[in-house]
Amino acid sequence: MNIKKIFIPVIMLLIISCGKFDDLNVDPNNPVKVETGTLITSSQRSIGNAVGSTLGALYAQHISDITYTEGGRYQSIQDNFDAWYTGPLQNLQTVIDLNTDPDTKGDVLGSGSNANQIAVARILKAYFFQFLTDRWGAIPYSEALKAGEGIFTPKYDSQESIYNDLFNELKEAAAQIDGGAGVKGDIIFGGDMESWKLFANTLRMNMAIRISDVSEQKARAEFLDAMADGFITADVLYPYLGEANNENPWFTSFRTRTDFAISENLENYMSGLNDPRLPQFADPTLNSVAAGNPIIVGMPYGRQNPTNSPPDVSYPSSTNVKCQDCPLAIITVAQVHFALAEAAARGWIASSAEEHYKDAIQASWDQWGVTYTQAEFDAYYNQAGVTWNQANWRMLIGNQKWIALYMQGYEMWAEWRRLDNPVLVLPEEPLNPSAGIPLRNIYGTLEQNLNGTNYAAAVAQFLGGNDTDGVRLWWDVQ
Amino acid sequence: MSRKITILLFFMFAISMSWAQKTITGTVKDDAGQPLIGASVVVKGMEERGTITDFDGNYSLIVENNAEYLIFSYTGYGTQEVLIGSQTVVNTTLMEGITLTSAVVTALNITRDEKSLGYSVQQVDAEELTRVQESNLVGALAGKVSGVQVISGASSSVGSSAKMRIRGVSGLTGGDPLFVIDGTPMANNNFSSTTGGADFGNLMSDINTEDIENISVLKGPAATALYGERAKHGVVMITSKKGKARKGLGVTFKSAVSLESVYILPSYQDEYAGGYDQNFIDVVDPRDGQTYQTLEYSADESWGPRMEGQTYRPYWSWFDDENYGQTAQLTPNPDNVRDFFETGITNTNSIAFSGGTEKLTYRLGFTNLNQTGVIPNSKFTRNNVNLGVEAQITNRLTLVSNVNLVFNNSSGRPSFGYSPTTGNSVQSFNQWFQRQLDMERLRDYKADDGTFQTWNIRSFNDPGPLYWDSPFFSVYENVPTDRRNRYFGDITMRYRITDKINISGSLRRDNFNQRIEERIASGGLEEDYYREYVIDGQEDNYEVIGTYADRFGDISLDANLGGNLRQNRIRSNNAATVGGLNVPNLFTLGASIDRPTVSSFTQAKDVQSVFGALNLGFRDYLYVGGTLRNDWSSSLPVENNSYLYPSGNVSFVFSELLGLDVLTYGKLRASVAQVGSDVDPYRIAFAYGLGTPYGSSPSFDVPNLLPNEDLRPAITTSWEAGLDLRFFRNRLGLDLTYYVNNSVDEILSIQVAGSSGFGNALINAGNIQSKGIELGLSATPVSGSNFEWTTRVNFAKNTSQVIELSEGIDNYLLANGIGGAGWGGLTLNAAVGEQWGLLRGGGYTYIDGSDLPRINANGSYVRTANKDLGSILPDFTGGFTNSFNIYGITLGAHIDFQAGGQFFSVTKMFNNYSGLGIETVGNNDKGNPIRDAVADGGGIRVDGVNADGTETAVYVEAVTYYARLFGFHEEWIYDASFIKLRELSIGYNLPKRMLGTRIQSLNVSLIARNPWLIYSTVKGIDPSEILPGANNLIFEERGQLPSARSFGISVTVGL
Repeated sequence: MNIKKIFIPVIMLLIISCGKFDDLNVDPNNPVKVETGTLITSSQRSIGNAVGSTLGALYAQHISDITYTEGGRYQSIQDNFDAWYTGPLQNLQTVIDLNTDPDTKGDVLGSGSNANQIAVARILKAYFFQFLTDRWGAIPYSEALKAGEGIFTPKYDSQESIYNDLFNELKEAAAQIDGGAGVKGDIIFGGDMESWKLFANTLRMNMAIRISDVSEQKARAEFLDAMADGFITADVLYPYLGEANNENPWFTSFRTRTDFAISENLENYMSGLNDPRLPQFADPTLNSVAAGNPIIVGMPYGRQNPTNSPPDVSYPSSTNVKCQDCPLAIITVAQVHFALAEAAARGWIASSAEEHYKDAIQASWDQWGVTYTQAEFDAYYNQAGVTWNQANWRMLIGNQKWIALYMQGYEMWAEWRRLDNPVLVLPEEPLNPSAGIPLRNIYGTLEQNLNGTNYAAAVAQFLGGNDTDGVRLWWDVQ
Repeated sequence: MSRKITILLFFMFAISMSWAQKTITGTVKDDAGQPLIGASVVVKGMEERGTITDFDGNYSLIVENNAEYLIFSYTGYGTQEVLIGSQTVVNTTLMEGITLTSAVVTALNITRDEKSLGYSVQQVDAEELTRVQESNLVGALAGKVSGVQVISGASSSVGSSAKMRIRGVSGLTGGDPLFVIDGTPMANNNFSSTTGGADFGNLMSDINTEDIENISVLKGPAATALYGERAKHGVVMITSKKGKARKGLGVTFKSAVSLESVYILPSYQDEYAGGYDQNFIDVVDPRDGQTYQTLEYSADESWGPRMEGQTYRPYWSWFDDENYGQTAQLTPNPDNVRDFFETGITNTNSIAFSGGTEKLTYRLGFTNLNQTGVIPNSKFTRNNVNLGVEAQITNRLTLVSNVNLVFNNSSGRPSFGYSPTTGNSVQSFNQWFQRQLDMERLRDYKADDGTFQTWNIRSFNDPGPLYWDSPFFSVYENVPTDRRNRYFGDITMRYRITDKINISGSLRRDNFNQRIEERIASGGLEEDYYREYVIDGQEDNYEVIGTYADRFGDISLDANLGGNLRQNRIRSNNAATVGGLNVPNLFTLGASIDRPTVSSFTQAKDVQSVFGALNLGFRDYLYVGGTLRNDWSSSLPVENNSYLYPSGNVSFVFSELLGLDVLTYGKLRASVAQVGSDVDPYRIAFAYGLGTPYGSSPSFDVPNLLPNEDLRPAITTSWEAGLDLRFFRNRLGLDLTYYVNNSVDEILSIQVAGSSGFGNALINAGNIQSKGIELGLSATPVSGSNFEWTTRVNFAKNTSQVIELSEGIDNYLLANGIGGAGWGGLTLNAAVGEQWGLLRGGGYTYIDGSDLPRINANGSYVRTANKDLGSILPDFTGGFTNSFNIYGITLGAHIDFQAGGQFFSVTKMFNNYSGLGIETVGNNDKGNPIRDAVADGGGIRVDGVNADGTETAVYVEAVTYYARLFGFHEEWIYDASFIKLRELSIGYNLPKRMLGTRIQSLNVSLIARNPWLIYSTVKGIDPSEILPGANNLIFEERGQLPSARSFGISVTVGL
């Protein structure tokens, strides 16, 4: 009798629990289906990381490290690119897949028409891939993002073939935008599909300029085609928010520390021109303000054992750069005008290179909130070293871009490599293998370990067997 | 369907048998002729058949006619085996402290005779555990079991973690052994961070060592196949103290107090002040217009001026208070770091009531542990209640129940790790601090107006903190609190169906609820912050076991068959403020300025199991056993969720055949076993991850881990062989084990090229082989009535080799080092063909034919990236315990040691980078200070070779030399070899004649924990205490809190 009383409840418990057993492994914490717009939002948030990069701004020598200078002395030149693939790119690929697969495309219309979602995802993918190839050169592209198909070790593609495909992607994406619902979750253009078209075309113009030295014919054709499709007339900015989860990264790094100041060479160059953008770029030093005599002082770039005190050098502007919701530029009207100026200088278009160049500088002044009279602008423009001179267009555009692209670090680093202007300084005891100013990022150890065969093939085929930062990329002719 | 039937099957197993029986009676006395109450009497070979003696030492037991031996045992007394023959009255006398044979607790709480076991089990008894009142159970085992490596958190913390590794690693990602108390599996999670912050202790640190009777460590899966997958890394079986039948109420009271003080600190230089170079800075004070000599206040490094008593304006002369404008002499404060620490006090009081009759025994224990740490404002209390009851309800039915309650409370647990945000004040001392600073000045960190003051001000006219708050701000304002309530225990009913067949059913539960609150106060360096983390974990086990024991002539048999349902449930909430607090120091989530981060998590997993074991014995010298277990795991794909695994073992007690006087006991044993394992829940199906929302737009991400619908259970196979020898009536003992353990086809989250779109993929892969030897040597070199010396040495050597990973993969990244690529990219790896836990990072470059490293023309070392820098696993580990008994005074000393096992020290790197370390001063071979400019004959001489192998020497500025060694891992990798005197005690048991009638026993002991780090290869760091919170992969010391040592006294009174 006893035995039944005791053990039957135990057995009952065992049996009752069996019923739920097979359903127990359904994850209650994470959804199996989401609105595809939420994947686009997440991908776009990654743009905030790309345009707010500290290392990019250091490599362009817009800023200098104040005390701990290893970053600016290129210690991190070897870097992994995997997070860009597993993060935004995989999200965007998933948006494309879900909008393409006949089984799922009907389920995802809540985030916009299939064609519009695909178009936005393709444009953003192109943006990220260009960002990556401009840093590393050859990267996995045609076989990338295909783990679902069993490809875990994608091969590397040449930068040329990537550029060629990106031109097509941008052209096709802009063309497939239809009159259906705009995308949801779009934090850049709010679902305005016309803006996406212009953004795609502008990216294409900029890409065409990037390859103009190495493949002028292709560059010219793409440029003219993109230009004809229409380009942006307002700066495209990444809109950080006044809250800590989405704040400007410069604000974050200055929240408790004071690690960066405007670089001395940029500050000297701009001071020499009395450039009115300088006070928009950087704050007067704390000590000079305390002493009642505010001045802007740059920090020498890449000193090995710097002894400068943070209060004696100028931090990036607290109203234009490092406030919590200060936007940072993705691509600007000034860049479009510089591109047009260069296209004119190269003879691709008939309009005046000088006028475009002037427009570019003026667009930059506007972008940075300079208040000026035409006379002031003319006075600035008429200085030697600023005034247009067709024979010297590389230097002029390089130097003016350096200023206009302030804090668009990675973009400026690419433009410096292509234009070989401005003249940047070599840090003391550089920590990169080439010991010069780097011409590319070195592939990270993750790829070497996890995709070793393709990595080795890429180094042999595209880098002459030497994965260093001293190897020129395909578009970097000299 | 079929498994339900299988679980029920053994209930049909109720076939009863009968045998001719007789009743044996007798009396058990001690050597003084006093009756022993509650001594155990069992029939040999049928240990479940037994009774205990009553108040007069008498017993009565029904045995089969063919029963041969009775075994008499009593705690603290030697066990006796007595031949029954034709007797019906068997009296015996037990001798104190002499053990002839021993029973051990094995899997599923079944007690078996040690000689029948074909695998190694090592026991640690209560006395060993509580000798010096170590509060963490895991820490208390350090060095006491061969093959068990214990790595502790800092002893200067309160209630900190300890981690156990048995036989190196079994499996690629390491793991913890399963802890089981009275048959109830216990959680040993750790909810500390793995990189920094407070160390909240591993959950097994909840267990009160005062309530423990005995611990058996089952090291290989052979011993543990019956516990399923979690026994893969070994099982630590804990038996709690039980009540014994006796006259009246037994009361034991124990009180111990010990004082802790900080012990190991790095050696600091005391020659140079703070700054980035040796020049003073002239500042014009705007108040008086005078020019003053100052240090570079914003610097947190120590490359400043030589301290020669110069007059200067210290940082505190710029605060707007009565000290404004003062000057001081620039002199070192050699003891400033030590002055920060306080004397900690640990106070343990416990009381236990026990007693009972033949039908009912009970024990109720209560222990209060109260600790104030050496780090100011750190406190910890733990209260344990333990109730154990065994009631014989009828002569067939027994009820056993153990109920335990644990209440932990702590505030101000100190932070470890390299992270100023979590306020590791010691990180500041050892890495970023200055020698001229006066700790007493820093103690007044709060100004009259409520603002906070620190040494590392931004500049003379901006006295806010730049990199560091005052260390006192960290400990008094950023106070974390936590609380953990736990209950665990079991209710077991045992029913004797026949004399040979027993059945028992148990309900077991372990439930904990932990709440952690972290704070960063308003007004300091960091943005104010509050975080709440609440986790509720529960494991239930429903277990039914039937046992059958019989004897057929020379052959004994015991078998068991059981079923178990395990249910694990976890629920947690984690929330933190973002963007600061809207009212200063309002530590509530509602005060978050921006949307707080919030996450909820629930997890459920069931494992259903049936298992059986069969053991056969032949003439008490040859034993063969086997087990079989099948599990069904809810977290595996339905079609692959069933897995079966066997084990077998054999034991041969050859001393029974030899009959040598010298060889008291000799046994050869061998076993082979498999154990299956599954995977965490929710790993087989795709689900999106919740991202950070942008304003009101939610964001989701494709997960980084590619799930796998085709996972299979993994199987670990191990075998071991061993020899146990005891000579001269146990005066000398030796046990030796050799084992090989292969983890094959593990379920791994293997890293894949991120360019595929996923960072990790789950696959079945790999083969990790651990093998090694374990040696235990025990001896009683001297044994007299007034002097006895016993000693034990444990030694174990293990290698864990990565034989293969997956196709095309030759390395599995276990972890990235601190700072990632920016700090030079240190990694911890499992590389094919190498010892598990291989460190790789930047290091020196050598060319053939030279012992000197290659250097560049400027004197910098040529760096080789991704260089193999050794494994984190030690070459060998062990312990050495001695106890002496001299005229009633007992002296115990326990040493543990380790050789090898590499780790990277962030403290050492920054200690020198920042110019704090003693290594950064002194003279070079020219007789000039190395900190003088090279141009003036100073600098550090760097010897090396050029590319062509020619030797060269270059002088490098000291600051440059150490700056170049930042992220140069090889220089900062140390060998964790140590020899440590961990425990020391001197005790005296007052003779009974001095105690009168009320008091049964009284012991007074002087105790010391960690009194002496006898040997260490790394100066200033205790390599036995580098456990970073919950991090299982102990390969980095990121800012260790110093070790502490304690001295105390304990008094134990038995009534």
